[in-house]
Amino acid sequence: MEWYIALTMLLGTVCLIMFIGIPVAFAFFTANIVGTYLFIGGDIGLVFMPMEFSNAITFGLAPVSLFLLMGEVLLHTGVAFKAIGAIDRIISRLPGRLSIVSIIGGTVFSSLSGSTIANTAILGSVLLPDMMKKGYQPSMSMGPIMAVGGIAMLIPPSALAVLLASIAEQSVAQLLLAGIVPGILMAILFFAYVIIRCTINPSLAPNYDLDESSLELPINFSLNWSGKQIYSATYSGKNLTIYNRILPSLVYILPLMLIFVVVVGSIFLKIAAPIEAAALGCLASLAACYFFKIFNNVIKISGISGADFNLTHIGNALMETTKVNVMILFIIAGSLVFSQALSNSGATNGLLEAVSAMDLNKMSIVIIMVLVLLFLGAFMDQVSMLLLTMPFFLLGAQSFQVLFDIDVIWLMVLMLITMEISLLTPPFGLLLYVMKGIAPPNIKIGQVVGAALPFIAIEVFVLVLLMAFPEVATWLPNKLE
Amino acid sequence: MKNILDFFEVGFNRTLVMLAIIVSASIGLLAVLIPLNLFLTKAGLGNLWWLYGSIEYVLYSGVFLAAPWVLQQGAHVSVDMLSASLPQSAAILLDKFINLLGAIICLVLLVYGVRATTMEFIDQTLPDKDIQIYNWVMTAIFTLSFVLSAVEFLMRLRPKRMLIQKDNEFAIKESL
Repeated sequence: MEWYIALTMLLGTVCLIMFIGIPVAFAFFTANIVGTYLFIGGDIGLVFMPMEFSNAITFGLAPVSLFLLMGEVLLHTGVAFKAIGAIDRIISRLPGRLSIVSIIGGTVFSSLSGSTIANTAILGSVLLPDMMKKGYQPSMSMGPIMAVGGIAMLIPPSALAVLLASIAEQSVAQLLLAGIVPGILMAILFFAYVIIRCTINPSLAPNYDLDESSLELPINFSLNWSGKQIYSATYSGKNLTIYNRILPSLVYILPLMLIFVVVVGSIFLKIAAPIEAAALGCLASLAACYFFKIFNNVIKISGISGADFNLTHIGNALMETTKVNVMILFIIAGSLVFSQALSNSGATNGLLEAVSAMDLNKMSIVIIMVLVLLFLGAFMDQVSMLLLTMPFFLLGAQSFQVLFDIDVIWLMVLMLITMEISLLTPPFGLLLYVMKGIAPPNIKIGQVVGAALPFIAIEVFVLVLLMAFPEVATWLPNKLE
Repeated sequence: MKNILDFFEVGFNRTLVMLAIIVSASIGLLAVLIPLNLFLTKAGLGNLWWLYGSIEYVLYSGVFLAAPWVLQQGAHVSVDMLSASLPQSAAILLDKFINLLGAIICLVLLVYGVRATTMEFIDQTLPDKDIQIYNWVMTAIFTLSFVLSAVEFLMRLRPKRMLIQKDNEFAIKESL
């Protein structure tokens, strides 16, 4: 069978079944049945197929579950929301204040929780009503909330980055480090955009008087044990306003910073492998939650609210982790066997040889890969599009990455940014519809798209910058090496 | 009045929830054992030699055993562009078709799972890994996963899908 017929048949089966509405993992399983029957030994090939799934789930995928657990623990105990509260207290006088809060707070929140789509829904329901009430225009209220996922995907600990590196059998540590500079750059450009736009046109994000009367209140501290107060003190000195502003932010932010330091620091200092860093991150999250619990009952400081959670919340976090983890790994199991079928059919080689014969240079092939991801992102989630394209882009000795000698870490960072852009790109970008779903009914989809466009432009700018200057991504991991 | 299928469904739901709880507990256990192993190694107190060898088995079993529960929860990613663009009556028909097709896919995989398990059981083959568990155990887990998934797809074809949410919430609460 000609390679293009095999390719059309296999990809066509996945896409058709997916388009009908069958869960993506089952679409891959269907293509596996077809592919294995036609290209890997017919009926007897299908008898051996179940064992192939066992080989597809490897040790390298374990960090994904643990990074997911880390985020879920923080979400279910309510600790992730503290990031937003903490940023809210620090920033007081900037133009477009709430947009900046949503970018910084949202980035921390999204980095910790893992799923861009779920984050847009959660952050939208938490932040959007307040912004709308204060007269923020859609471009300054919905835009940043939808865009923060792009930063979260790059700044560690990013579950998608871990997943991408694990499947591609590349260094998780290097990819996590490679995302830091582009992530920070993207964040700076977002801030700059918000501040410049709101300075030029203040009606986009009207100034409002912050209720700072609480900053003048004395700080009460009490230590309690078994419901009884055993020590108390009050501070009402001359630095009261400063302490009232900074103390809660420190208490809220330090434990969350600790998680980042534990995960990234342990990898950076080569104390732990990614799987160990992820497990340490889980323990650090739990420690952060218990730290906040102390402020709910043992230590009470005015202006600081602790977290109230119990074992049921932790249990729910575990169940939610299982849900997302199984969803991801089930697709991976299906797709990796699918890529074997593609390879055995000759479709992978055929396509790669055809592209090679076109005499394209490295940059052209990178642009093609980016365009394919942008197209797929119009109607697919990130994991699905990643796994559908991996056999051609990254996996194995016959992929575009190897054939065109593309720096693998650089390529993976480009893929991460592209996947995020694709979720925001009209007409079908999933995040646009998630935002439309939670926005007030009078907001039209056109306004949601309009709000996303400037941020898409910034993300595209970062993407182009990275394509032109790969060092932006590769400098830090090379330094580590 | 409850018929035999209703009772079966309640039992089926509880089985899925119990499997999900076991898988969740295994992930929690990994989050504790991996740092413990790191600490023991760094402190020169030995290590949990079996830990990393077992993780692949835990992951594989977890994915396949909890997949039917994830399906029941509607948490497997799907592209719903077509059903969202259809009128309600057509969308209901499409939903039935999806469930039927899903069941057929699972039944095909189930048939091959049974054949693979039988073959591996007869041969008593072992994987080329540090910790060895018979291959037939792995293929049996694969088979069980698609039995449960097929039942879940078929259950969705019932006119009234009783008690799922309520029963799941109850079972989760009870177990925690």
